[in-house]
Amino acid sequence: MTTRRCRLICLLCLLACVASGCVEIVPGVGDSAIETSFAFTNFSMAQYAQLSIRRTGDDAFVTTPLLPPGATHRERFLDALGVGCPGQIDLRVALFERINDEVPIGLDDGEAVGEVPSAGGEFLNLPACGSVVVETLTIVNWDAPVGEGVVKIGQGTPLERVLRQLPDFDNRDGVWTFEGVDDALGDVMPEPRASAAQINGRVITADGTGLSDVGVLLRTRFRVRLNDEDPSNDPDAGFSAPIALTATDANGAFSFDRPAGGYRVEVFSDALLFRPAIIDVESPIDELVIIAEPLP
Amino acid sequence: MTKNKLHALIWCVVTGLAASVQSCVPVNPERDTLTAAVAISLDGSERTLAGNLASLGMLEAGQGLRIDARGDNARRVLLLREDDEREGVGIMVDGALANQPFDTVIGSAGRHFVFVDYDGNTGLFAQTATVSASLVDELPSRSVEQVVRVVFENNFLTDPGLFDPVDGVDADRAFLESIESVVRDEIVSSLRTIFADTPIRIISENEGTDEPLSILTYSPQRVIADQNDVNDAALPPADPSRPECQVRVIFGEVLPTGTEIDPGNRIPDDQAVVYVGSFQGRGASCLSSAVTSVRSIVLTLSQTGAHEIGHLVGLYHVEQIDLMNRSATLAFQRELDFARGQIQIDRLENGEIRSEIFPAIVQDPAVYFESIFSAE
Ligand SMILES: [Zn+2]
Repeated sequence: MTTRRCRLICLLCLLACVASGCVEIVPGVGDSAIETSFAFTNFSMAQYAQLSIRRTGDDAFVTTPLLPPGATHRERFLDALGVGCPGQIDLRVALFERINDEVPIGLDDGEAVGEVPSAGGEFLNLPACGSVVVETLTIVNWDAPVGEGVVKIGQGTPLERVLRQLPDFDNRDGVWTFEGVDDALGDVMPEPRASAAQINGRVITADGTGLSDVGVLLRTRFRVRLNDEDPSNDPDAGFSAPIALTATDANGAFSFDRPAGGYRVEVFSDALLFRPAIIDVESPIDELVIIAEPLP
Repeated sequence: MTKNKLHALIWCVVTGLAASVQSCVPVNPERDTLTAAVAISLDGSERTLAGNLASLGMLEAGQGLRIDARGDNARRVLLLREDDEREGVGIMVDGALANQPFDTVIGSAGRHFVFVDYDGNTGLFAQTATVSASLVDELPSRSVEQVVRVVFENNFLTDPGLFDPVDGVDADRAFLESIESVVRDEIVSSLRTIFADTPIRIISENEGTDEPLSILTYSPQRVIADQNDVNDAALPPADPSRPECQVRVIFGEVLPTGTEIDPGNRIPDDQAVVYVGSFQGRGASCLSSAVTSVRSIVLTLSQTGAHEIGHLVGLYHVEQIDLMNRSATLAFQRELDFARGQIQIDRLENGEIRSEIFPAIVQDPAVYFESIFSAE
């Protein structure tokens, strides 16, 4: 008899199921019994974004908060739509321009945006759990010129392969694009901004002593296209100019209040060496410890 | 049920904001509802169960219940209450090892069910048990909290710990030694934050308690998995271009090896271990995301420790992205929650271990803790 052991096994560098071909893709519209989630992420450098979503066939859309650059909104389908995993979904993505765009986002009180979308698109009957069940359906707004929208759905999952078979996704990056504002979004207004989730950290020496007056800055993650290995149009993805700046207090502590999402934290000082000085994070973060030592 | 149906649907996990980490697990489509449950009466009479589910009918809050499920291949028994959120779904509210009676108190009124979890190498036709249930007057006492002491073995970061045996130099070892105290304090602090709103109380090595306590040990060991350790057979090899990195190691386990889970938290002084050495990178081609910063070291080790503590109090693996997801790579990426999820059970099939999701069995740690711990 074989002994079974419940141990946490190393699954180093797991490859996507797509690569393994282990997924049976059966197009369909039925809901799944599995409870899954969606994550809407705004990887634009400057525009704010909100997503409206409904199960195909339902009447009302549910809309996320307005996401600043870098932010992510995660929600279970059960909570949002009352179904564990919808077979097909309808989406609306609306983008809004900043008013005070000469001010870094983190210093822009109120972060005002235009009252009407600069771009907005609607996609009906998008294959979802009826075709492939993914635990988190990612819907990512990429960076694009004002007036255009580029949305990547299910990146790195078997759903991406399904979507690439649709005419709307039959392009280099397998993205859904739109220009201007779809008539269906004519009266869409910006939702209240996503609430803040803290990034808390401390800069300390190896013996735990806090270091004051260390500069700390924050950048947001962005993406323009899939990595294409073409250096003439880089960057394909990266981090924005700093959106917020602070310094550590007497205990070495610092904090940023930004909506949950993808950020880069950088620390700097003329007198200290950091291990490391740059950390890419998914917030919220309870405590980000950075070790520093005097420059030799 | 046929094996074809067992493989009818494959389930994939994706996480992270950019690159995705996935696992594929088959869903058992015939187990996605409680309606298949066999009804049993509460008179203590035995009923033979072919399958996993028995219905106990409506029960009222405060009622005492004795459940006895026996079978050669039965290993655990779970008590479920019908979910408020979704029809046909049961929420785990208590549990125990099979083949011995256990007493429980009904926490909230509702239809209740018994779920028998069979040993992993049990063929579907051998999944049979006898189940009986009866009301009891004397209610079992439940503890108010579970204390967990976190212990760090000497040189847990360096012997070999996170020290890279291929590219590591003396300065790297010295750095790891220098941060050992900070990492220790941060892991304890992080575990306290993770369990802050639960009946699980984390104490450090220096703190005493009169209560029975579980122990979570951070060991410097690197532990290689053997062939029979539970693995996700549906998963592809890690990276065919880097075969030298495809070493299956064990990140942590409940002790003694093979214990897996303490359903219902019946053992208040059990132990688990996190093998720190299993997180080490090995040379330039086998870098480990776990060791790029103190942040990632603490995140990875504390979340792996929280996962093992979850097993110590009876939590199963879930397929949702959560602290109880089996894939340790998730722990590298962001702060995870203990949240509602559908349980995942591993079983051996034709010599291969496969994980299976039970959509009808939901684990919600908040509901479970409220049920198995006393409020005062
Ligand atoms: Zn586990």
